[in-house]
Amino acid sequence: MMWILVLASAAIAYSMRISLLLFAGRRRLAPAVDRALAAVGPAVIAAMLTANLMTVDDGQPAGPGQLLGVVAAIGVVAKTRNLLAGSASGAAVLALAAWVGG
Amino acid sequence: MTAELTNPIVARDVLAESGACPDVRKPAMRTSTELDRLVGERSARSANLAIARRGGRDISGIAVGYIPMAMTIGAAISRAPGSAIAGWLGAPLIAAGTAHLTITDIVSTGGSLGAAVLAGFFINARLIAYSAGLATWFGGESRPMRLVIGFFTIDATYLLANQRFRSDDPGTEGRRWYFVGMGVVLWSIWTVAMGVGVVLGRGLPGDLGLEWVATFMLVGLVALNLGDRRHLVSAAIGTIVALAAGGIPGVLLPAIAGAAAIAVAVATPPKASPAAVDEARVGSPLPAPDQEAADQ
Repeated sequence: MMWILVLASAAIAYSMRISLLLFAGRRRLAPAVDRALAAVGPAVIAAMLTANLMTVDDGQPAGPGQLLGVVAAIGVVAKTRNLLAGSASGAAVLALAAWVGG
Repeated sequence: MTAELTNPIVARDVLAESGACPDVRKPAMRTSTELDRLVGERSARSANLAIARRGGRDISGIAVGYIPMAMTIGAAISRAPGSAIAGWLGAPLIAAGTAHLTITDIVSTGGSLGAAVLAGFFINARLIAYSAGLATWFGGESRPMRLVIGFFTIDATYLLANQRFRSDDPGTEGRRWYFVGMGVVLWSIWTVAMGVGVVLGRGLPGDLGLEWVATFMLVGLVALNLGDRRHLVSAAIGTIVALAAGGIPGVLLPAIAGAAAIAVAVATPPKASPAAVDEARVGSPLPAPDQEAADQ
């Protein structure tokens, strides 16, 4: 069962990955289509991240420490353009909040 | 003569002077044009490899952040019924952590194959959006190369490529090498880390407690792209949809957020002067029509 599951899921995921990349090909997309396609990715990622923050543990939203960690990560990345520094800052704030909160 | 030919050096000279074989004593003469071409090819190859290494270096920090998640999924695979090797092969083949973990959980808790595949389908629906977004940068590539680019498409490579190409576009060939460099590094680390998780298996806790590292990385990637106004608006729409979508099943959320972003993007064309439009065309990542014809 695991073999079928993995191969089927892999085939579906790969089909999605190449779908519009192959379809669009060398064709020049209309500006409206171009705008629409470029808008989807950021919206989907932001929606999934927000949903994850709303349901962290058994449907409960993220706590203050976790939200502060996210804010710290965003702030540091926006300031330094360094992802590792941003992630480390988020983790540090999260650990600090957990320590303060006992 | 026979005795002379027992000495390999003498035999070489004799055969060369008789014309029986090419004279290997003289270096082959190359025209300056050919030499220029060889030097050019070598320097172009070096430049491409440098760009690929840059891509690998840029994504390595993100890839490290994904290690705890990969190990967590590996541990879950070792506990799930069925072949652990098959589950681990999902690392390079599915290459999408949330979907991989979800389908493994469904199987572990006795769910049906159909339910697991369907859940994976909805969670990965965002890959269609990434495919569309990358077509802007890689639409001019050959079909085999687009198949390779597609294989390495996931949140991190998509977001980092967009950020890099908008701020410092390395050109058609550079984009290709940069993306493949990112993909090779990310896929390798992800696959090895999940393999470690499978091997350590039950020795690892089900939840390593480090899943927030991956979340912070993803949040940071979104933040990196927020300098672009269109990106900022789209991310804001996705956030608002998620906040408002209390009762909507999580698997439908990406589709609804994507549809809302499309509606807003289509309804609000950018305001630009004719000069700005011309400038944007010059800087377009797609090849010019004459270049397209030459490529074909």
